[in-house]
Amino acid sequence: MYKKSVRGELILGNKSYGDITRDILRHQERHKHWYQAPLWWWIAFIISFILMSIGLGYYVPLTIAKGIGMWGNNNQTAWGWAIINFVWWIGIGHAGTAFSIFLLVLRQKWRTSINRAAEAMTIFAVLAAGLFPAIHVGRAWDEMFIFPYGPNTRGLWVNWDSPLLWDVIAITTYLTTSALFWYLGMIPDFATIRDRSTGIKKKIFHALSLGFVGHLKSWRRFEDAVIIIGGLAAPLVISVHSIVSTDFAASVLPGWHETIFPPFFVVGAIFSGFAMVLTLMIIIRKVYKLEDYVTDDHLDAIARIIMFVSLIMGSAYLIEEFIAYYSASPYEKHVFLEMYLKGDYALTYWGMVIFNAFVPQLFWFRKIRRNLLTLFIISIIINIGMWLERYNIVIPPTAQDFLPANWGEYHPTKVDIWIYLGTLGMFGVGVLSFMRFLPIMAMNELKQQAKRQTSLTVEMSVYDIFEKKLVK
Amino acid sequence: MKKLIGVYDDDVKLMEGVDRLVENEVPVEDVTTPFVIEELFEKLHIHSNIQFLAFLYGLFAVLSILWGLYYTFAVDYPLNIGGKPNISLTFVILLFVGMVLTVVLLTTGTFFHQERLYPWKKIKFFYPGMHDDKMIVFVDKNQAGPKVAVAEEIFKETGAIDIQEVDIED
Repeated sequence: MYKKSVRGELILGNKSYGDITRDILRHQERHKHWYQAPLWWWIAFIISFILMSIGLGYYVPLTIAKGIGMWGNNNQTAWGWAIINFVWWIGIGHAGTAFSIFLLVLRQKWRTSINRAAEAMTIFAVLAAGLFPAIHVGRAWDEMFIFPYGPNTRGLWVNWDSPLLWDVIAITTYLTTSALFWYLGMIPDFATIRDRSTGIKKKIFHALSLGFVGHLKSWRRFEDAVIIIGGLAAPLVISVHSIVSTDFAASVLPGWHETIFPPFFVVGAIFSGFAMVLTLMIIIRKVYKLEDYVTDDHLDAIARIIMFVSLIMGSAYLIEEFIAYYSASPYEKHVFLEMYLKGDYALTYWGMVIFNAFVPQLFWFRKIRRNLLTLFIISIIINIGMWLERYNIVIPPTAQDFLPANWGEYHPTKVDIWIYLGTLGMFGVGVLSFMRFLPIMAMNELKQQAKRQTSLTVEMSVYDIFEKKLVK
Repeated sequence: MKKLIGVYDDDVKLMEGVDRLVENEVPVEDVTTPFVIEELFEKLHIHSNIQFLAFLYGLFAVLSILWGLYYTFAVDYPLNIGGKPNISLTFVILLFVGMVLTVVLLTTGTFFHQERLYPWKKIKFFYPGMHDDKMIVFVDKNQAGPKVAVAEEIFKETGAIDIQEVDIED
């Protein structure tokens, strides 16, 4: 039974179905022309666009033209910022699906206000992630060799046993599935916008809605298709990030060769992704004044999940340290007990531990979970902490491995840094365009939620009477 | 095709109207709603075969990928590593991911095909607010015959905000 007294209302303000449409589309319909937008939007968009243009428009072609020598990678540390950023972005990209699917499977109704933005975030984050391995190969024009086109054109098939090949297939699948799931979910909302708009906007949304009309049969098929795609995407999240982790775990390097990596990576991905969802939802709620849809209870629920996942992260860090000590392997001990705890990488390691395992524990306090500013700051801290975690995974084990004679140092170049900033810009451009032009919340699902809320309120009052009778 | 439509702006009234129509054996041709109302599926016996088809796609994908991996590993370019044939268990990962990709693409394709969805498809019937807050019940006049009057009465009694006769091209 849904207990309002415990869970709170999911949509505040006793909204009618028409109110929901108007509230969600208010920010779009307020402007007559596509180029009209609030000042904050233009400032954020221009900054993001400049970053994207420099990072991806100049430094990526420069890397392709001149080679990976432009980066800080060296013989010892062959995977530098590119792979840190790849894993970081993929991690963020997982929250969209985690939100949409896991919460759907777990019957968590509060997902409806947040899933659309989280799915959008997934698409742009995965696009940013995919860029790094694509340019890291050096000769980008030879990338077709990764695909198993045949029959047997080059005398040998691709290596099916390689986690790097699994990565390509898994991420392509993940991007395709997430994009289709996102688009499919938006079709009914595109139909709503189509019906309400005129001129060129109507033509665009007519094309995007594909002529969808909410017939009973259409809704039935829609529900079935969404459930199937969503149901398959849920294990895919676990599979994709497990595969990313095997890029490391399948090697013999101390610090990488760990059986804990697949669950550790999956949990870390959900952790960073939820933090990014929190950051975005706070912004969306604030700038679009959608407090009735993204309530304090929604943010509270995300904060609780983050706090719980943070405990798992903390446990994983402890287990890594203990296993290194227990293994009695001098190489493992060097990485975990020397380098991380007190050596050259102590700063990033302890930064990671504090940001990911300790700071989120502040969410035990209700006041902090209910304060937008503290929520926002902690969500940013977690994202920095998760970037540091990927730094600690990628750099130290390669910088100082078995032979001290081979030890080296890694420093990113300005090309590394600009490409990372470029992906941040691309993410910003994508998310801001989504916020300006597309329905930021799943209107059809919110209406379903509003209907359910009404019927549950009726059920609840019957339940309360029954309960009171029992008490008497 | 001439149809009688009853327009509602409240799903409780809509459900009452549909209940009454079913009780009075008035054939309800269709209902358009701005969101999913699952109770209507049961009431009007609306089914879809997408889940079954998705299962078949999955089966097809698993068998095809298994065959493909066997072909590359064992038939076309068999490798012998240390005296053993190189057929590793890693195919499980590719099998799963490949199956997901195939099912997702084919299921989406099936949905688009069954619904005949394509860009700029002509909308045959439009009522203001039909994807916003209005729910519309359609009764086919030819199919319903003398029951059309009963339907009209039920629409009125259950609080339909608009009752119209419309002509929709096939």
